[in-house]
Amino acid sequence: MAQSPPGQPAPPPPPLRGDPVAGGGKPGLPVPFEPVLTAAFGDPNSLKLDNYVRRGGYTALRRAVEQMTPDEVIKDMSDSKLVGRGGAGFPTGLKWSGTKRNPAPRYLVVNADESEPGTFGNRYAIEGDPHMLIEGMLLCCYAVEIKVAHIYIRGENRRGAEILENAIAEAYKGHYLGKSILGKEGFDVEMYLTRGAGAYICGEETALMESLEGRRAQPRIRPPFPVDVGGGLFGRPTVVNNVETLMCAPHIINRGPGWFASIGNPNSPGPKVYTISGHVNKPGVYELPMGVTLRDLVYKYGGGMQRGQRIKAVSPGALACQLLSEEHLDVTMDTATLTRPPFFTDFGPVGFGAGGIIVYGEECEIIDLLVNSSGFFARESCGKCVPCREGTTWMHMMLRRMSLGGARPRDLDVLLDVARNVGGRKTLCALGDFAVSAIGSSFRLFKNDLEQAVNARAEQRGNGHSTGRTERTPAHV
Amino acid sequence: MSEAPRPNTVTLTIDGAEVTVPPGTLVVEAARQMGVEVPVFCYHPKLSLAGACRMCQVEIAMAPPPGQPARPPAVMTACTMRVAPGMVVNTMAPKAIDAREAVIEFLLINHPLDCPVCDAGGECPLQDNSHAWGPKESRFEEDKRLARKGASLSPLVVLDQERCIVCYRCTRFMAEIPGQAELDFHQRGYRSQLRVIEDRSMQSRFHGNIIDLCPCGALTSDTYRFKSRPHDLDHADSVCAQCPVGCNIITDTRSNVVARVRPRQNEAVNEIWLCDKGRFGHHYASSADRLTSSLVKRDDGRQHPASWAEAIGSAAVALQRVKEQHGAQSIGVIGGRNLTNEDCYALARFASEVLETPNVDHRVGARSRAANPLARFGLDAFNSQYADAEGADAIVVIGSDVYEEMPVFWLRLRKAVTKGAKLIVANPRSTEADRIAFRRLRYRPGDEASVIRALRAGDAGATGLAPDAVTAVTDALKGAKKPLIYAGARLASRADADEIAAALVELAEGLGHRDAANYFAEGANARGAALAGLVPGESGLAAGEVIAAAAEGRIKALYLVGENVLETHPDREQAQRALQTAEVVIVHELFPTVTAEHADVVFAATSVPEKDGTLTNAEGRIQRLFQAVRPATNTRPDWRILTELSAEMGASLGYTAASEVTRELLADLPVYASLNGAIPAEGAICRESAEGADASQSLPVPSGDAAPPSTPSGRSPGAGGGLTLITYSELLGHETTVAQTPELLQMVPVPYVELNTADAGRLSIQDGQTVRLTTSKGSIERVARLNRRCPEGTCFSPDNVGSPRLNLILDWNDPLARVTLTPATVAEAAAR
Amino acid sequence: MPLSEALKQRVINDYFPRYPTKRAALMPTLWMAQDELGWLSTETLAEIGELLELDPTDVESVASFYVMFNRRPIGRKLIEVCENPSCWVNGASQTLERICHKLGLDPHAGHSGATTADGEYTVRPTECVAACDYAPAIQVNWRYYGPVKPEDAEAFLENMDRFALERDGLTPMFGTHEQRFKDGSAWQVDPASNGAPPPKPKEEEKK
Repeated sequence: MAQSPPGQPAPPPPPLRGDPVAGGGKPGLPVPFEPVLTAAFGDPNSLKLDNYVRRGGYTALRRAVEQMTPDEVIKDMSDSKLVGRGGAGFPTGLKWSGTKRNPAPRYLVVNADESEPGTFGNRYAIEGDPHMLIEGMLLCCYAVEIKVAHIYIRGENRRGAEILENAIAEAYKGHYLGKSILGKEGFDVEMYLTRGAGAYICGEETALMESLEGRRAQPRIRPPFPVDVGGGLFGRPTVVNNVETLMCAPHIINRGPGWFASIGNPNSPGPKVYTISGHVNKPGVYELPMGVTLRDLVYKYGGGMQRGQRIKAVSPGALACQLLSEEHLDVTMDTATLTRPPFFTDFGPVGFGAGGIIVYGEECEIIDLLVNSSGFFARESCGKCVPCREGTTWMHMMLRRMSLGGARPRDLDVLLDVARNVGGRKTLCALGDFAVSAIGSSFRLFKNDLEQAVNARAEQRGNGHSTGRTERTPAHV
Repeated sequence: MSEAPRPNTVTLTIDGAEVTVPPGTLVVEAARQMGVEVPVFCYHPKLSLAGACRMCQVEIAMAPPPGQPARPPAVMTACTMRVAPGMVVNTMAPKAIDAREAVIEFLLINHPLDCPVCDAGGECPLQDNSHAWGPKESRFEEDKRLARKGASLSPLVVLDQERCIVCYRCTRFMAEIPGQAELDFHQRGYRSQLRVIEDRSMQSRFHGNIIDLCPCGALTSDTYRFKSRPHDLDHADSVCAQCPVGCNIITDTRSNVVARVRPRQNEAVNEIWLCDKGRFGHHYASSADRLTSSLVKRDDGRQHPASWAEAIGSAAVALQRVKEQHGAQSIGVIGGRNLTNEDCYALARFASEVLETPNVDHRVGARSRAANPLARFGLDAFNSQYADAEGADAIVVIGSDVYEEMPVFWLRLRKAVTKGAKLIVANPRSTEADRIAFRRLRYRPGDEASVIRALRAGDAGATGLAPDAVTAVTDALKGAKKPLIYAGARLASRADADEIAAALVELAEGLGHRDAANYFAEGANARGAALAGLVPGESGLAAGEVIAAAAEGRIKALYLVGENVLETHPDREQAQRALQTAEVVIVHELFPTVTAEHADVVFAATSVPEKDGTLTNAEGRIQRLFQAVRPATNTRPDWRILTELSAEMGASLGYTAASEVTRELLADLPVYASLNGAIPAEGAICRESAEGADASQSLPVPSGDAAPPSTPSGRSPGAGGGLTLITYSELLGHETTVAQTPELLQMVPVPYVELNTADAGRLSIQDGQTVRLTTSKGSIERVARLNRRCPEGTCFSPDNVGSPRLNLILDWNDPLARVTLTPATVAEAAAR
Repeated sequence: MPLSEALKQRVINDYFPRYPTKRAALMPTLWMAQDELGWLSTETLAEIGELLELDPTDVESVASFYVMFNRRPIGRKLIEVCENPSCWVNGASQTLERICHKLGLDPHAGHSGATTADGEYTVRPTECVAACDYAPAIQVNWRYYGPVKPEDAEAFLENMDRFALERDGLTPMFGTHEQRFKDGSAWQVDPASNGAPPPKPKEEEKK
């Protein structure tokens, strides 16, 4: 079997595995830290298979296929303590082994429906180094003995879809996909790409599978879970992994689980692709060890605040997470920290999401932010379950009315109560909780701002002054 | 999957009491078992789980792993959680009650609260649950969502989108039970709206069920709209008499008029479903077109309203005269398939004891003698129960569009297929069942016997079937632990009925399941009529032969009970001749039909909702029905007319009440002997062959086997020009029972002929064009439907749709007659 | 207009084999149909239903769930302005308003959008297009543009290419922030920023 494209003398990659662990691995101490996931971003040739191979690509796969049993691959994933990068933070090794316990045929589904406002690392990953994703997927297919892998990419990212289609075609041509991959009898993988068409809820794994099956993307009830028979894609046991999660796999195999586990917060270790946006000077993608502080992210990497303003609020994992405020600047940004006390409130975990940090400066009024974010969830609610369908829109309508100076005395109380009725795991999927995290945390952190803004605007309007904003029609919801 | 041995029961605690249920039971069902009602909207035991409404939230504490501290309880939905050992459920936990209150608040913020003008008012789960669990005030100050009100999803079902609580019961029903996703939510989230794609309306035969399933007033019946409040209705348990399935129904009446019909749960028959014909087609009983007086043809040759005395007297005299002049053999009696068992039994006795004629039959157009062609093999016509289909692993349906012929039973077949049964559909043309078929066998019309033999042999032979399809089917059948074969009713009354039956038994025996074969029935009480004795005697003529003989003058008197032979006998010209030639024609009818116009005496009969009695469905289940409304003015039940007529003729049947007939027929007919005179609430299966079966244990050589294989009767396409015309009845036709419900009538298809696109191309026929169908008997216009459902060389047109009916061009003597199709405009031009 | 035979063949040959059900080919089929015809008419949905053995209502139900499937004709240039927080705090709503104003469209038409009379432009707000680092980000016919500050709205309409984040499909997006600062087409770092300059090696990671 030909493994490399003809005429490509792929230089043997350095034998990384077993090397002494590089880096200190202490939280917030990224030195010396070597970015691996984003190393090739920006290189115009990084999309090509030969370039990827030259950079040491597919050595992890070769190592796995030639030297490791599938179970050893899974063990490495478990030992690396890699947790899902999509937001739920489920241990990847456990997911793989759980799926493998169930009978074949099994599927791999890559959740590339990154739709969380403020999160854009996966888009860069797909558009920057697609073969790393494919190699990660192949490792999963090898480990879990999967023959068919689907990538579900959000419709808005047409460019990413085109890049991936090309990469998949190249991988087929290079015999990294198809039958007897790397000459290994029985290691067959077919890989397909399916595009979404504009539905945030497809980021929820069961909704994503519904969409892949050609249905309205409405979450399924669990159990059965995707890893179970009856719960996965087409009813088969299915691994659903985030793009970044799978991209970690080649590095774990290459450098060993110990290397991975030593980076960053030991409870959820590894390199992490952070994305920073909002009122910062240098929004962008930063690969850092899990557990860098918020302060570093904003001021060291994000270039500080625009116009020198102070931080008002921060969405630590984009819109679905609870807000943090300036007082939390020293918190370490990782899944483990932000999902456990004290970052576990009456509205659930603050959440780290997929590491998309949105920073809001003082120019941003909390009430307006809540109108904006609640509108997003109202529009993106799939409508399957009652509290989310009705509650998200109700909250949005109330907030909008308040923001336009139409507040009535008990509105904030009702709003908080409605938020409690939507959140707190009362909905079919997590969207209900997402939709109220910003609202719930605002009552904790910014109640005064809310009351002042709402009252001031009501007063202004009551005095005959226009709020200076244009009223949206309900159709906007 | 972990297939460790599981315990047979699970014990958990619900509201402080222990309950033991099978593993896999949902918490909501476990609670229900012990009398704890957890409120639900989206949950429905017959549908897949949605978890959408969140109404059933309860507090559940899972048992901790051994040696670990108790886990804190959490609020979960009882309709998606399955029981686990040691689980502790608290349905009245404050958190659960709060969650439910919140759900109700959410549901009501956009609900129009127009209960005063809502049909569901008084029987509305949303109302009831709001009353029980809802908040006492509304905190919603925004504008309510506006949406479509009173929108027609079909002529029968009305949607009020504003009332909809988006529980997905209706869409799940449509997608899962009949498998016709022609109603679904449009858009998403807050803007989710039920919708049928524009320019279409719902076509399903089952979509009336979504009215029952709707937990609020979003889906209502067009025919029942604003007709009544539920507490003003009277109810009678009854059985639907619109088709042979025998669905159990509740007839709701108001002021002696049937207001609506609802399905009544009988898991053995219809579960909780009802087809739209049964649900909506009830207006005929209260129609102003009903006969309200008997008619007698006087000397002027015209029919006049007559008193019962005159009518009975005239009929008696006429029948006596024929009997004396030409002998009892010259009298033919046709009818019974749409009557109650009581009427059938009285008619059978009247024919044998009073008229003394063997020419009795309920199967209009029949050529074969035996109503049950399997009888000579010691088998019943239907050797299983409907519910058995669910346990089958291979099912053959031959010669039947089961969707049209046995609608609610079709739902059972679909369920069987979803449970993994392989459905083999053999039909000359494509039918609804094809959509879920494991294999579709397309054969030449008339070839059924050879096709069945081919399946037995695993060799397509001369049938023209694809050899690999036949092999696949044979393999599937041989590998089946429980095969079942269903044959269309008309295969039992054809000239080659015995040959087909022999082939069926042979196939069934070859599979090691001698009793695998089942015949459907044609007519709501066809089985009951056959069992009551409305079948040709030793030397008697079958119904088709009676008409043929009458047309030739050999039958002098025709006694037709509820049978409009001019529209149902498959040769209108012959039927017309028969009615004209016969000296005496006596008719029992509800309506002044075209056949009744020819009668010397027309008795005004009562309809099924006006009667007490019993019906026996296709599977042989006898079921009670209770009178729902008083009989229409001056009408009488058939058994009573027959009693009086027999008395006039000197040999009274002696009945004074329907219950007397019931008692006597249960006692007299051996088939019902096992009941000891009592019919259980869910009905009882009665087997014709219960006693005589042993006589045939020793495998008789079926005659068809010894005989040389019959030559395929379907002629090769093109020979002699024209197409082979296939016909069958559709569920919704222009029968009198449907014609009185205008909304239902709109669901009846435009009289059409379906032909293959290729043939249409050859004949220059366009889709939707009116075409003229011509045979030696005459010609008729139909609208062309072009598709690939009919194979080349054949065309299909239903025989119960349109006026005149298709039987205008049918020839009873040549059932596979060829028909020429010409575009109507060309035909007209040529005529000019 | 009916679907092309080539499209149907592609669905049958390329997509049916991918999935165990025909239904699963629905999303790709809807995309191909929309790419071919520009939008999804009722007739198109019915045709797709026939191809995939689905009821047309079922097809419409799925198609209408996803906002990127157009159920009515749209302009030749579909301008979608992200209004989610990262873009919104950088002025996306004003950008949207200015674009609409320039084109004479209603900026509050909502997510179904407004189309110019000549059928050239459809403008609508959209949800995050994952280009938050170029906020306010815009997609035109699913291609990335940004940042388009409110004051750049007119310039954007005049010369979209200047704001394009990608040239042809497969080369990486050009222009790191550094480059864009140099050519002056994007915003400037506020000198009053209290941020520390980023460490040198990290500049590679950001694109």
